Amino acid sequence: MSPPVLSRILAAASVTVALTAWAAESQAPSLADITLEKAGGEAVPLQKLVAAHRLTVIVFFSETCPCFAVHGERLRDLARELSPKGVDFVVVDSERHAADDAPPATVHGTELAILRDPGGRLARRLGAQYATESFVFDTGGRLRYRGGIDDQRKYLGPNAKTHLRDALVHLLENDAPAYVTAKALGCALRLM
Amino acid sequence: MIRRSRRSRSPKAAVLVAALMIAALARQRQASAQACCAGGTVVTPARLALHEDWALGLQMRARSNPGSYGADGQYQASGGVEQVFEQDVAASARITDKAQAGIMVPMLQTHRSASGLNDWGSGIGDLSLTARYDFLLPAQSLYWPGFGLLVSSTLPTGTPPDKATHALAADATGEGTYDLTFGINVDKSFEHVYAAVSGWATHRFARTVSPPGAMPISESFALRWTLLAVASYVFDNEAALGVQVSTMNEGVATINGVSEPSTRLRSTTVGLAGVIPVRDNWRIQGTLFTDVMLASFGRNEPAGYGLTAAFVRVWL
Repeated sequence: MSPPVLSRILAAASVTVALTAWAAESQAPSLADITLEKAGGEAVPLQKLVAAHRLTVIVFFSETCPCFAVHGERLRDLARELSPKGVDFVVVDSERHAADDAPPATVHGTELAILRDPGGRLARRLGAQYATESFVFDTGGRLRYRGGIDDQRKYLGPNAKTHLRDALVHLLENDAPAYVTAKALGCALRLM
Repeated sequence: MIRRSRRSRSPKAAVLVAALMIAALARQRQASAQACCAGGTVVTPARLALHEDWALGLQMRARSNPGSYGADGQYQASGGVEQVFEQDVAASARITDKAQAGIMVPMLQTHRSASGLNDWGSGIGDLSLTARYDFLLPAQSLYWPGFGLLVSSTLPTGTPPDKATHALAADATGEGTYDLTFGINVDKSFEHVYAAVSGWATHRFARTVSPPGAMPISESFALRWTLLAVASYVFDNEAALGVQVSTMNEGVATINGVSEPSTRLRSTTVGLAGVIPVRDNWRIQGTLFTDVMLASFGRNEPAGYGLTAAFVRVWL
């Protein structure tokens, strides 16, 4: 192969890599103006939360979704396993509630706190549609994974494909930088 | 998804199937179940619930018609016997997040007994193609109900009554014409309760009947309207039990260009339906149903009762 041809190929490859990186970057929505709320009303700037951890998992919650209910313990175990490695788990309630309906402060049966997303701004920003849908951000706020916790809906078996865990483990090992996605199987979020 | 009745045999297919469907409904959590994902308005056994990409189902139906409604709407007990057994194979595929399409192929066996004659017949019925698009899911809004558009068509792959060869036409398995249906579905889930109302209009295309030894008869049909209401309760174990009621009305048909007032059709059916989900990939559904055998609840239709059972495999 002649040098000019080789250089053209290399140039084209460089452009491709650059475009791919740009496209991946453009998939990362800005979290700068998103503020969540603790049960007591305390404001939590999401970007600050993300910047403080190696990886941040945002999991969308639905109080009435059986799919989320059965995944609570699985999520708790994942948090217990990976929190010491720098992974923060943020469970977010973006759903609209009736005036007299106070959402729970923690995920049932776990110590995982639920943060409110007033007006569903975060869900809309990320395009989240389903409970259990999870988004993984790195310290720089780049979206590294989007999808379900696993491939099971409400009947959990031992042979689940653990999409979220796999993505986190690979990201922690720095060997899976690619943006990946998997189907989320929870209920449709009640954003209206 | 919609199925229409076949006048020559057990009508109300849409109703029966719909009842089966109540099912999919259920979802639940510790304190309150939510019919969030499976959707309750399913009017074919293989309607896809949220996240389901494919479904394959077998529905079995048994029906007995002890009488019929006359053209004046009066119920008349029959001196004979009519029993219909049916096995439907149905499949559905998701096209987009909100759109799905399906196909149903029925196989019928009919037994008729009258005036000392005993007639058994069987064959493939009319094939149905269905599609639906859900603009909003029933649990997607705190207050707004779900809303979907329904489209379906029936192909005359069965044997129409005029082409039947048996003495009591027990080998008739179809309507003998194409039809096209458009409908809407409004449904809402609220904690343990799921409710849905569907309505659809069916245009049956004109057909020509050629009785042996007689002049051909040209027949065209008025628009057929069907309404279906379903209400169900979702238990904590995710099983669901519901009631359904439906009514079908069709106006005056035209025979050889002349309106024939005695051809109006009507039927009213009520039923109980239930579903038991088996893990994430199977559901067993069933119904008990009966036509309302009272004057003016039917017209020019057989009146009967029966049951159905369906087994559906779904893929997420």
